[in-house]
Amino acid sequence: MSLATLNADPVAVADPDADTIVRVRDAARAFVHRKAALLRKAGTFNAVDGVSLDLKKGETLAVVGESGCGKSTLGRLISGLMRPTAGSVFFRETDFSSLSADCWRESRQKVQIIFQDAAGSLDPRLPVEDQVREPLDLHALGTETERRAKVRAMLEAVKLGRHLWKAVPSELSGGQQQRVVIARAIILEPELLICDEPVSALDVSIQAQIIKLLIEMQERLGLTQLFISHDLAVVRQIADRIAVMYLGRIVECGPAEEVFSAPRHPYTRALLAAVPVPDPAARRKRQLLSGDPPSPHAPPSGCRFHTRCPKAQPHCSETPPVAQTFGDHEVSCHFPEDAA
Amino acid sequence: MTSPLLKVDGLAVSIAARTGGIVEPVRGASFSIDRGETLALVGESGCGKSMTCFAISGLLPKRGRISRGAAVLDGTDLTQQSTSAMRMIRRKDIAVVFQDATNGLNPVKTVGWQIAEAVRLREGLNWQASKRRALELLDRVGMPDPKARAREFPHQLSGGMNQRAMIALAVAGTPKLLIADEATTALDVTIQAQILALIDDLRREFGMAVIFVTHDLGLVAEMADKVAVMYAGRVIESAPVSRLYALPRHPYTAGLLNSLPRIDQRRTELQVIDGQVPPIDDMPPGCAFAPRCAFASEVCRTESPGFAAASGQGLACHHPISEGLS
Repeated sequence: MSLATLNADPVAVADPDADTIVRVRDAARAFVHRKAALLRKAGTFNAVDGVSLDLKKGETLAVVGESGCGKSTLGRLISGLMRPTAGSVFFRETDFSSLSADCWRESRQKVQIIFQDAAGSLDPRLPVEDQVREPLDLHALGTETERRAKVRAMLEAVKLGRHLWKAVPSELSGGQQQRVVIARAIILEPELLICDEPVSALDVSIQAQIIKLLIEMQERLGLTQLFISHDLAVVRQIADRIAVMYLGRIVECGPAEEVFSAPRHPYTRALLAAVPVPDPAARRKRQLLSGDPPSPHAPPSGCRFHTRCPKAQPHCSETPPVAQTFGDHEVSCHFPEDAA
Repeated sequence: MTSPLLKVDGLAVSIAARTGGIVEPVRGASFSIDRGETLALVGESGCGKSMTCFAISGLLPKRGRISRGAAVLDGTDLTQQSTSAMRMIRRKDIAVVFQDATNGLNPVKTVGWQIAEAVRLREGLNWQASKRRALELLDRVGMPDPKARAREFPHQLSGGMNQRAMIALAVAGTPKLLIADEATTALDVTIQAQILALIDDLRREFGMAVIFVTHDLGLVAEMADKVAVMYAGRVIESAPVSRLYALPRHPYTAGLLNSLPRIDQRRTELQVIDGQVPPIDDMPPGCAFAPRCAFASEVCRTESPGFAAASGQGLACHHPISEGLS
């Protein structure tokens, strides 16, 4: 099942300067059940199960879905922190899982990650300024003075008050900690920034500050972003393209405006309808999905969404749908909605 | 005019900190709620919205106490009740549903047993009848296959199913007031939508009033009749939901609404409120929002604005945004 917006043409593979910087093909990642040790049965399940996508230079691709759909695992596969158990993940022409230890560290200059838990990502004992300088030290970039100047410029850029530069993370608020994490991630000027729920733990007024900062930095540095989130309202503010995941598979992928205004997969429709709109005048009759998402340990046969789908037919439970293309908008559904 | 079901007036909660000092997480909460009405108590973390609900329901931590103000439920001042009297009030009149349903339930008793126990205590039925009623309730809250689920333990159920069980537990005695403290925050959106619809159905069926404690302004717009916005321990603005969203009068409310990412539109420029909430042990002498407020003047920095309430609306601000300006 391919959901690529660009087929792998030989020219792009040969030319490292081409537009596509990440290429995921039929990637899958299996995990062992937690219960397996007790039952003495090696049960595995695929958290990501046959995902293909491309990331083009300079774009922000958002991966959305409910908990357990595999969006964070996909982020880890693309960052190289985890190897796929099947399929392939390429960053430009590099397969991270094939790298030696030295080359691996070098590759981290190109790819950086921001996680939800800022406090847990920072060294609790290290002052902010040293924390942000550490990547430069590790990669031996520039002279001592250059590094210091760069750190200061970066801390200014993320708008962290000068009086906080000598503070340790526990003295900072959640929003300030996330600013430090962002500064540390982009000080190496990476090509790809993976944000895994970067604003989910923050309050609304702080959330807006951080989203604004991420958009500014993306424009300034021409970053390519993979933005993983369950919050569709946040995603709408930042994404160029959106991939919707359900139980380890991408069910719909397309330009953000199209996915929001004319979703084609019934799951995307239901997901969008479930998000409350902050406008009392816009109260709608909700179309509610019934039931819980099935366990990824035993995904349903055929189309994985058929157990909750309002449009499901007998056919849906038997045959997995093949991706259909409408321009650069792809949908895996037997009965996709019309564009209107 | 009939009196409101619950009227909270100038409520303050103080907590003895372990370090010796006293902090006031709630410094002035005022709102009222009528029978069968939904009130949303909104604010960011640490603004005192949960603590206000703990005070109303008599669930304050040991080091906390109500230091000022009144909360009158149907003629009874809740701030003057003994611990055991509050226990009876929670049994009959006020029910609370928290965010963390799995930990709110007893892990070593089956879900059915726990609901039957609540029914027996509240409605005085015998055990057989209580168990039957528990099954009816589980069915009513939309638990799939209630007979089988009733025999299961909380860890065997999903988060959404546990929250349904908590709601069944809460409405077992047909309370007058249901407090839902971030009841859907931990759930996925599709499950959240199910639970919200359920709470609204039950409110209509039982004629309960509901206090929704939340930080999600989208959810407020869809669920609430009235809204009370809290900032740094105070209710700073309260109004009917449509008025508050159309014409926010407090600069904080306006800022909050403007900084909200919206699913139905992409903002060209995301507006933000700069700065952050002052720490609880270092509140400025005047208005707590003054350091972040674009309209702040000298009086805001020195004098705390009083909460002026009239005809279902309330406001605490020296320089409210005038109508027609927003």
